[in-house]
Amino acid sequence: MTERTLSRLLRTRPLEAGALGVVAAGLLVAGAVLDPRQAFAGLLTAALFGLMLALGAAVFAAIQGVSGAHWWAPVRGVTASVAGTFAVPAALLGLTLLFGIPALYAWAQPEAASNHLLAAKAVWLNRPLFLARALLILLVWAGVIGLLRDRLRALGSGEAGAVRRFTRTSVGFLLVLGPTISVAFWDWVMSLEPEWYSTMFAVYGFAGTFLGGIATVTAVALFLDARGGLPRPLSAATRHDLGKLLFGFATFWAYIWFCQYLLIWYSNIPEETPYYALRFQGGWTALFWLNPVVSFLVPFVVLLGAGAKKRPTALGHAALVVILGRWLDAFVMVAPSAGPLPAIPIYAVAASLLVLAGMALAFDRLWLRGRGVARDAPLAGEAALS
Amino acid sequence: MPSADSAVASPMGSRRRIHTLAFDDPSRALAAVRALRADGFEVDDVHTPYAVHGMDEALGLPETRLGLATLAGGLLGAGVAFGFQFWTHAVDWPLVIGGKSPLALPAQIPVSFELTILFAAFATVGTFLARRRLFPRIAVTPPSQPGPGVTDDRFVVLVVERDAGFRPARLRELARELGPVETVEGWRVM
Repeated sequence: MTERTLSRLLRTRPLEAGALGVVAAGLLVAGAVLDPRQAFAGLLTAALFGLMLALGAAVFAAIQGVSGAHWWAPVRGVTASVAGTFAVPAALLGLTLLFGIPALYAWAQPEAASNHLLAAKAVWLNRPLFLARALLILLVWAGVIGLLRDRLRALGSGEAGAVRRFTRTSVGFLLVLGPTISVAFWDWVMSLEPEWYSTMFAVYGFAGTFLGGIATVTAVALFLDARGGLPRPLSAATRHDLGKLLFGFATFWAYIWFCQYLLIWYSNIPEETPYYALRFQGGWTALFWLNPVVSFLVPFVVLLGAGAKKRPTALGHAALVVILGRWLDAFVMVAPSAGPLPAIPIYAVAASLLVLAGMALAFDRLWLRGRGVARDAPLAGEAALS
Repeated sequence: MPSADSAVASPMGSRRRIHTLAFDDPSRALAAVRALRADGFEVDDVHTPYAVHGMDEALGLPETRLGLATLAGGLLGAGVAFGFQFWTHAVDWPLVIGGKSPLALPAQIPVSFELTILFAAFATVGTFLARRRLFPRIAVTPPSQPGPGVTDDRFVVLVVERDAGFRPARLRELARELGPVETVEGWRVM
């Protein structure tokens, strides 16, 4: 059974994994004291990365609920369990913000009081209100994701009226998500450079989140399917659909990425350009341009043909590349404000590995307990369709 | 009405009996196509209100090559857009706008993006219409008449009697099992 789990490596070598985890955690705690800017930037990168994957899976489920989709029945359980791992990055984000605000955010430093712009923004960007908003957003997300997972479970057990309740919850989820994810990205990420703003930043965050969700669901489902771990094997048609979504939303992310860049490049005014000016310095330039290559160009070229979307190896590797792109995107959004590019971004890597390990363990727990609608009972008429 | 011969000679060609099974549910129609083909019947066509997942495979249709036309159209669109912008901005009448270089690539991307999609869409639709010979004033095979539901919300499976080996009794027996909401037997001029 353990062979069919994401955390197989952690379980077969618990001593090594545990030791590595303790070392990574120790490094982060030491870093938080000795080198707080870099350490907290690494923690925020990792939390944002994990959040995009787990929250994205919930968005993926809600979109299927709103559109009344049947095709996704074979990946429904995987989606529910990936969304359930939300607690891991959410907890890390909570801790990072609770302790890291003075190190991370320029608006929380003493010099901000003498900065005219930041003094005016203090109405919104002040520590108590910032933490209250973060707590509210994380609790609301935990609540709606929990509700969504309950509805998915009912869907799997075939209760009367379950489809209608799932649809309603999905609509509610998306309505709640719109404003909360906007505030989340303004607060946690955009305010790292508090004098800068972009009206596209919220939708940029949403596009990356949804893309991360599609990629994670695809990668995990293909991983389990290859080991016979899914209740029903994935058909070529289901892989084709997952591939089309991955292809389409990698393109959508690139569209938003480029729109934000184009408008700022074109008007070239000093209050808008600092974000890109910072990323065109030193080692950041290469990473900045690598981001659209990994997040868009590679999946676009690989998944262009219908055949590749149906082939598990091509689709699975494209999904993994997109997940890597989500990490790079989080890193390029967060880390430049903390200083020049380190030779090895040791804190970001350590924190990200911890988050991934935690999410893999959480996924297996939810998935194997069957709480993630593991049985995937088809809805009426679904069996023949998928 | 003529007798139940499967093919009757007529001046316009041969008339063949056509069986239509109308379903109100896509999964039933899909199951019907699979059952009919498994039993050796040739399913002529299926009319559905929307694309039904898995129907192409169930009908045994070959993979479409329409994507090649889309790709060709898209590449042509991108080429035309980049080429024309390059020519107007950098070659024929170089202009410096907002301090940017005359060959400012980011500014060219939106136009190229739109024209890529436009050309790809035109190529796809045009190729489809040309291949299906769907033009004004071109005679089309008369549609079957399986009842008004065919243009509404019904999933209609057509089985044509093509040769003497056709087993109408077996078809009617199968139809009872498959549970269509309506079955119609008609004639089609082939």
